[in-house]
Amino acid sequence: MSNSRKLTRRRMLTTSAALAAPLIVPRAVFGSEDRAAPSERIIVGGIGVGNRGRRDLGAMIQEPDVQFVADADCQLARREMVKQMVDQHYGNTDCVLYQDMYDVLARDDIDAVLIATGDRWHTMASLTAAKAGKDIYCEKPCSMTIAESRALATGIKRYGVVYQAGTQRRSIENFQFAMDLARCGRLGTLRTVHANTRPPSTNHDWLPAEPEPSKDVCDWDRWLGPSPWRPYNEMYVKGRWRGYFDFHGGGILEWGSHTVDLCQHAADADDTTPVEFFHDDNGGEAIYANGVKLVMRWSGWLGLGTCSVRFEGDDGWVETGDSGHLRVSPDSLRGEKKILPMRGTDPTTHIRNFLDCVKSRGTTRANADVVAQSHIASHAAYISWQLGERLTFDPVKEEFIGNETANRMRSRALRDPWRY
Amino acid sequence: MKIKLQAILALVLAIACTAPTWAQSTDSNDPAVLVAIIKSPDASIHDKSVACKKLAFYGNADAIPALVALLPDEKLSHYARYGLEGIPNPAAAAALRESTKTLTGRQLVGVVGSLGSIRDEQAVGLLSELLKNEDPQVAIAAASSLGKIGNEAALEALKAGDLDDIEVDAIGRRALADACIECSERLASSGNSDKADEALKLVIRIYPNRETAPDAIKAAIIRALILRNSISGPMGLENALLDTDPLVVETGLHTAREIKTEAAAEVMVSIYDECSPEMKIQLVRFYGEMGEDYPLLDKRVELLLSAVATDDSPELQVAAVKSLASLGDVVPENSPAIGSLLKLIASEDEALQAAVIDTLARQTSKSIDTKLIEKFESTDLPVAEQCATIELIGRRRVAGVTPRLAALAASSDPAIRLAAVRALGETIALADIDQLLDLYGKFQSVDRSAGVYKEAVQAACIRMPDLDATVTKLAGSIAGKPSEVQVFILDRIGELGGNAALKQLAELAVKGDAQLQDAATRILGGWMTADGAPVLLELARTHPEKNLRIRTLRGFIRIVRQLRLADKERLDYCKAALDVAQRPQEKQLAIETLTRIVSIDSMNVALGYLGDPELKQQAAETIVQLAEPISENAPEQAVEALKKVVAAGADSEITKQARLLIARIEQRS
Repeated sequence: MSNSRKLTRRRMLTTSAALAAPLIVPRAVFGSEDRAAPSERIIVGGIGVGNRGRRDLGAMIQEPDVQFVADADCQLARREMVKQMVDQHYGNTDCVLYQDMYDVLARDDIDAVLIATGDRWHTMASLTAAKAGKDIYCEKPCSMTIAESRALATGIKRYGVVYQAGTQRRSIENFQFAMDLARCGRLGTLRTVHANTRPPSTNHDWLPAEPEPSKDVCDWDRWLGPSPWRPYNEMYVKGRWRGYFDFHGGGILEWGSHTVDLCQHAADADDTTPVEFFHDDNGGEAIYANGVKLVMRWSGWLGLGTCSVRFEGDDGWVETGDSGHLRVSPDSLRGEKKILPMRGTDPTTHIRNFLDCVKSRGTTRANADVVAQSHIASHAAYISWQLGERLTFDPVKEEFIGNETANRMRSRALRDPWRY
Repeated sequence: MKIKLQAILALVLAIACTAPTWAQSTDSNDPAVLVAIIKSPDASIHDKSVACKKLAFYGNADAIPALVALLPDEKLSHYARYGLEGIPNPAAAAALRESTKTLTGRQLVGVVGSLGSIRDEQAVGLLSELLKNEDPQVAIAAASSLGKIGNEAALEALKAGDLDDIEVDAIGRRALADACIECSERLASSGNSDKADEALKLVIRIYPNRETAPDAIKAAIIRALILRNSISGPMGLENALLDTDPLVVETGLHTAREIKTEAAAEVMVSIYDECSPEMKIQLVRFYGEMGEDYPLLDKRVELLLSAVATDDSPELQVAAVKSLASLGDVVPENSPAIGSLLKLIASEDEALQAAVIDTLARQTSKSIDTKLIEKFESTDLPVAEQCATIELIGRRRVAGVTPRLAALAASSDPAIRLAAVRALGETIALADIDQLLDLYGKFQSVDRSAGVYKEAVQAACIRMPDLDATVTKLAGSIAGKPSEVQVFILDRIGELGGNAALKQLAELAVKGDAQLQDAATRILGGWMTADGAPVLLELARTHPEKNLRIRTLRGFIRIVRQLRLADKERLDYCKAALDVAQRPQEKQLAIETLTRIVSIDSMNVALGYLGDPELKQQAAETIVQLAEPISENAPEQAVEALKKVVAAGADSEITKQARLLIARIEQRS
């Protein structure tokens, strides 16, 4: 069978559609009550699955139509942890480990990949996976710059793959309810959307140099990937890379990739961004072309959990967060829908949405187009904060108006030999 | 001696890499200062890297020569490109082009990539030559950059670099194809359709044998052709969807989501009757996914309702019903389809039944309630159908059914019983909530699905408009209930949150019996908002039970550690925790929490515990962690505190870290 016409699971559906002769195999023959038959399973591989990634992985392998078969990581300890988790779940020793993500991407049997590297790798790994024709579930933040955000959306569309960012709050009921209230006019004319972000600052410091471990234990060059070189220190690879400009897009993006994204959806702005950005000591603000204000702040919340959002209209407001609890005004809005607390960090329903779209070739809730816009908004807010200036932005051209420095901050050079 | 030497060497190395002799200067955005840093033989590699990055944002033409000089440097080459890519001056691009004459290997690959990133049109000739470079990585990078430049000249260069001139292996072939596709996209977006098509034809030349082309390349070409040909034409949307190649069909379905025009929607609905049953399922999913704003909503709903009426394909029915649900309230009032949907409630196919309930729950049509109540009151329904009917009653929150639901909730049939409990949760009034609590007491030990009672009470509480009144009502129901029901009620109060709940729990944590005290302190210990802090602190101070004092203190520290508080408030709370704590475990937690407050005051609090043998280690770790950020504004105080850590004789690792930090701060100062 040639690689180009290999009949993968997801192709099975449309093949049988075209032939008008569906192959019906009783599930019990190859599967079981709660496991899909092998031909119906989505074969998944991992790339850079660490702490958060294992949470995604845990949810993914619980799905009856998923078979997780391989993991690639430039760190030995991390890939071994994944194998232990996967093998224990399936009761076998079949999970194959690789040091190089290209080995996972080269496997024709793999339909989709779970990417959970550090932020610096997210766009590069996603675009590489897209070129390999793999569907993608990728942790957030999904890009390091405005330019990367656009490159991601363009590349994902180009190769026709299904993409879901790990912004799982889009699939969690209390957040959905809050967004629905805003979108369907129950709050009256929407005036302000509030996104819980973290303080934005990053730094250019380097930790003290330490001897590099062997490439098998940790391939430091590969860990750095497209981000700038610096001397090795174990702290980075153990997960303490946040806060460094080279590896991290700042605190607005860290949570804004969730909360600004939710605000964009609530404001019916999935396909655009604000047109003005400015800030004060408590956070950033932005204005959409229709006058709706986006407030990005790290204090003054009602205490409903991390990653809170608040939507305010002429007739009422709603605020919710990771606790799953919700506060509304007027109280009559509470009776609209049954809400049961589900932690905002739980990826289960979001992963299910991704898997369903892998099968239907549909559009995920956190597809690359909407993710690009919400990330661009977060990056633009961070640039405004860095410059300490009020900035005007053209969402169509994706450029700042009349500010050359801000425009120069829209991209960063990739380290050789990496490129999209 | 050997160990000492190693330590000194490590220190020297650390200082060499991190001690920013130019630290003051790298704070500057002045291009002249930044250029001076990268030219200085004394500046560290770190400082040069920072200067290069800043020059990307603030640099001008004067910075270009200094940056170019770093391009051959193994460590700094990328930083130099970083700076040069950012400088919007033709001289920067010219310098990058010029550097390709002397660079090799990774550095050359990087520069070639930069020429693509900045889309340097003047580099096309140069890149054309580099397509033939003996280093395949360079040739591949050149192809990629030509794709990014994406003008007619780049296309001509890609054509010239085609298979005849260079040895193209699978990787090179793929790189050329990717570049052509990107080039085609850019030409198309600039309105040059003919050249865009030429670029696509070039891909076909690269992969003359369709069978050997990667699927992703084929998908990209098909998508591009569909977008170009739009609706009709040999490779338009309609033909793609009716193609015999599954990849074409799949890509057609995917691409259709990008074309949200009336004409495209017309194709999507008009081909329905011609399609295979499997394809109909995909189309039906599409009709729902595209939502209300996509054209031809009425036609899509009509097709979905007709699919619902199809009784030879349960999978199609499920897909159609789910799509109706995702479109929301779209079934017309008094539509005959309502009868069909209500009949499907009796389906033995669980997926179909669930989808029908979900869809009907979303419709506002009043006629649904009328027909549903008729069904609900009928006494001869099979159990499964009766359960589904009860569920829909709950989902639609039908009014006036509490008495019958309460009766069914005492049914001897557990399925009916649990369905009725769920529906009660969705429909019961606050005044009647005692009925649900009593049902929990009566059946929770009998029914395996005790969680159903919990969810029903949760559902009832969460939709009550007055939060405080709900808490008061629940609290008023506690007296006289069996103890497990009392604990159950307390948990629900905790879930509701808010001031009234906090007050009730605080009271029961002291005045309740032992079991209620235990439950109330447990719930307070996991309180999700900062207003729980003073309540927990008070309990930690005054509760008569030692274990509960410890529990509430730990809950208090958790809030201080994790939740958002002003620095002063967090520091005061840390001090209070240290004051109240009797055991070293809690004191250690409080000292560790000080790391959340970057201030000399918090560091001083930790310093006060360096003399305590049981707390010395935690205090030292906290001070070292705080000293680094504090040193930026108060280096002397930071060094003084670190010297106290060294003198205190904590473990060797933390002492080593303190010494290193002292050296760095002093060097910087």
